[in-house]
Amino acid sequence: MRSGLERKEVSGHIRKLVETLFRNIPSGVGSKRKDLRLSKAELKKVLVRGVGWAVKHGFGLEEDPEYVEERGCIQGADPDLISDRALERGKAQLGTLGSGNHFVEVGYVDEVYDEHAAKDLGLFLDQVTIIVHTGSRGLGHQVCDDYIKILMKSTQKYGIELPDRQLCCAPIASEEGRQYLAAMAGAANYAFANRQIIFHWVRETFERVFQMSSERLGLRLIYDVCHNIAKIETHRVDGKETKLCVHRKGATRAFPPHHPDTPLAYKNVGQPVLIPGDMGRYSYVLVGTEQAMAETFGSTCHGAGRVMSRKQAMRVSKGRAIIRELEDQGITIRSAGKATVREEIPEAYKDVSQVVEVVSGAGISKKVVRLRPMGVIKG
Amino acid sequence: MATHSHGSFQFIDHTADAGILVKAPTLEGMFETAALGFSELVTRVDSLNCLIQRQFRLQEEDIETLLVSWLQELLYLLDTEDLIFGRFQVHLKDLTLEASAWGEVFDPKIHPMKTEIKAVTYHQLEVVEDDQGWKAQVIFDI
Repeated sequence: MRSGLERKEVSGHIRKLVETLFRNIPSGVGSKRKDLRLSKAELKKVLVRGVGWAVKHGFGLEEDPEYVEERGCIQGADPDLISDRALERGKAQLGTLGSGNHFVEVGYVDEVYDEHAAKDLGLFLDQVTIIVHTGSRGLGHQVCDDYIKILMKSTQKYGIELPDRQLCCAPIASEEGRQYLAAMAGAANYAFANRQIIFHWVRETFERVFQMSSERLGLRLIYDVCHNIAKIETHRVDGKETKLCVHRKGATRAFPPHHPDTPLAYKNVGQPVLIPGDMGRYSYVLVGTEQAMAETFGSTCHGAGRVMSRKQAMRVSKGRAIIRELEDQGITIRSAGKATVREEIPEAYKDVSQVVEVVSGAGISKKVVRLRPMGVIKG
Repeated sequence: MATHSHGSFQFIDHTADAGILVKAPTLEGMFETAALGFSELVTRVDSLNCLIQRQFRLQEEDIETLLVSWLQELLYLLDTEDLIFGRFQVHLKDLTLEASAWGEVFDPKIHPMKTEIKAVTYHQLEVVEDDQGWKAQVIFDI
């Protein structure tokens, strides 16, 4: 998300902002929203409509879906293919962040690489931005668990040999394959709605702290993109337009300018790609390229990835006041779990700048701006 | 290292996920210890009061799947009812598990919040019997 605010207008309020975000957005182990408990029937509507459901129920602006991958709704979701167990887990968790590497981060644009592209995305130097990183929560994991069980049998049935028990598969056109894709679409729509609701609470939080409407604060969605999803797309293979199932795991879509799925407002610049880094360093906004289309089925990386296990991070951070260390660098952190901050110390992650240099050097996405964190809430 | 039912568990160092390595003289003890390992990942087991009892009955086609299903059951109750358990009693007959667990409603004010487990996985899953009893490895997506 971008705002119309500059860094200097926000830095004096950052503690209050982080504290209020922390109070408004449930996070951490077993985080639940007590005032947003849906019936099973209503939850099924979320699974079918995604962001559309959220906007219809007052969570966000009419224009928001335009700035979400697939307009925040993957077609063909069938909630009847999602187990009661998954629905139960999903019911209380809509509008929650969760824990681990999930976060909401308030930051600012600290470097502009491409003035034109930045302008097209509504970005400028020192502008305050917000990143939300979360997904389909327990519901998505339950869908995964349920279908692993089914697909493990299909792997045998179709005589496919795989190296690990967590891996399983079925032909896309098989009954199991079709059912899984319809269930996965439901989980993806839940994730879109989950983030949309959180965007809305981010807007509300800014409104409360700055005593100004989110419209006047200029809080607009830049883009919302998936980090782990399989999609049916058309790509050029051996010179022929071919329908493919593209699975992006630890990757995001990076469609070029003028692609029909790139939002109209970004038609000359390309689809925004958001690459979050660790809580102490940077995050990046890039855009998709033709080269990504030609070489990586319109895909690029999604983040930095860990270099240290959580245990190692706990060892390295022992006796250190991490929150204080970050505070000294001008970054305010609020976390539900004490261990999370230590497990998520910046050095536990690869330097995202290096990762971004690789994808931009390879030409599969183009750097637009770099963001520096000012305040972060973690689960 | 914690001990229960003469079993013990250790957390496994894993870059992106979390895991437990469980040892116990008996298969039942291994299932109980694995469950304790799960709870210890989420919070401190010694902070839990065993106020609520729940019963379980599960059946699977192999022992590895049964172990995963057992832990998935505990995760489901944590996600839906906030229940977290500190004591377990498991009976196994062939591939049917009957168990009781005692615990309470997770309260972040009382129970330290450690890790939110997203899923119990089959990744590098192992259940083996050796001359000292049973060993198992389970990786969690966190």
